[in-house]
Amino acid sequence: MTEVDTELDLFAQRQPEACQLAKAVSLAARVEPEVLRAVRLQLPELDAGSEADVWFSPFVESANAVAMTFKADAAAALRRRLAREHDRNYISRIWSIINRIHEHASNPIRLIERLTWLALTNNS
Amino acid sequence: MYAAALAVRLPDAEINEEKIAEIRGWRLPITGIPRRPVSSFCRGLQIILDRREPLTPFFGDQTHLVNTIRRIAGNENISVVQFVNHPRWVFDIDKKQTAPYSFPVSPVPILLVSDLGIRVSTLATDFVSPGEWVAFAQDATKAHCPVVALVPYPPHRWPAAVTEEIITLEWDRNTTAGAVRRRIGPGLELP
Repeated sequence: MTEVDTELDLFAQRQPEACQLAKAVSLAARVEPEVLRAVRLQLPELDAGSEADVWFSPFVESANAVAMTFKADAAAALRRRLAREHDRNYISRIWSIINRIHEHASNPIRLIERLTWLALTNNS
Repeated sequence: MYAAALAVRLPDAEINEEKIAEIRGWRLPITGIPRRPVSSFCRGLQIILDRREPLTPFFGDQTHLVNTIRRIAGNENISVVQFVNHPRWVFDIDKKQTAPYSFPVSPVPILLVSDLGIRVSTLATDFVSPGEWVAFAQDATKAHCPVVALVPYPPHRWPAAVTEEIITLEWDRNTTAGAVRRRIGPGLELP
C-alpha cells in the first residue's frame, strides 16, 4: 500500500462524502468549481461543503480561482478506487457530466479525460 | 429564496388579517398589530462577500448570487462590498474603493456570504476568529442592521457562538424559500 493510499483511507474515514466526490471528479484532468458542483449534484447525499473539502484536501497539487488539479499519484489512486468500487454505468455517467462541462476545453484535456474514462470502464 | 431570507417587517406594512384571526381563534389577547413581512428590497440591502481563500470554490456562486439579486431588485438599493482578509476592511464594488467597513447609516438588512471561519485559511492574514464574527454581529445589532449569513456548509459544521448571534442559512440545493421562511419567521425587523 502506498503512502497516498494510506492518506486516502484516512480521508475516507474522516470525510467519506468528500472522498466520494474526489473519486468521482478524479476522472477530470482539470477540476473547475462547475465540475465539482455538477458531479456533487449527481451524488444525492453530499452537501456543498464537500466541494470545499475536496478543493482544500491534501491531494490537490494546485488550485486557483479557476480550477484545481490533483497530484498525479493521488489522481491515480482515486481512479483506481473509483474503478474498483463502481460499475461502468456510474463511471460513464460521471464522465458524461465532465465531458459536457469540458465541451470547449482544449483538445489535450478532453483527450486525457476520454482515455481515462476508457481505461476505467474497460477494466471494470 | 433570497427574497424570503431578506423579508422584513415594517411598521407601516399591510395588516396580517389571517394572523389576527388565528390569534382570536386561540382566544389569545392581541398584543400588537401583526404585519405582513415585505420584501426588504424597498429599504435596500447590503451584500458582504467573503472573498478569502477558503471561499475560492464558491466565488462563482457569489457572483451569480449578486447578479440574481440585482436582477430582482435593481441596482439602486443594493450595495455590495467584499473583503479578502478581514470583514472590517472592505472593497466597495460600486465605488471601487477600499476603506474600513462601516455599517449603513440608514438601517438595511445585510446578507453576509461567508463560511464564518469554518475553514481556516492557509494565509495567516485571512484569519477571522469566531469572536470577531460575534463582535461584528453585535455591532450590526447596534446599527439596527439585521444580518443573515449564507454559509456553504451544513449546520453541524457551523460555529455555535456565531450562529447564536447571526441568522444563518445553509447555502445549498435543499434551502428552499419555505425552509427559509420557517427559519426567519415573520421577517427581519427594521426600525
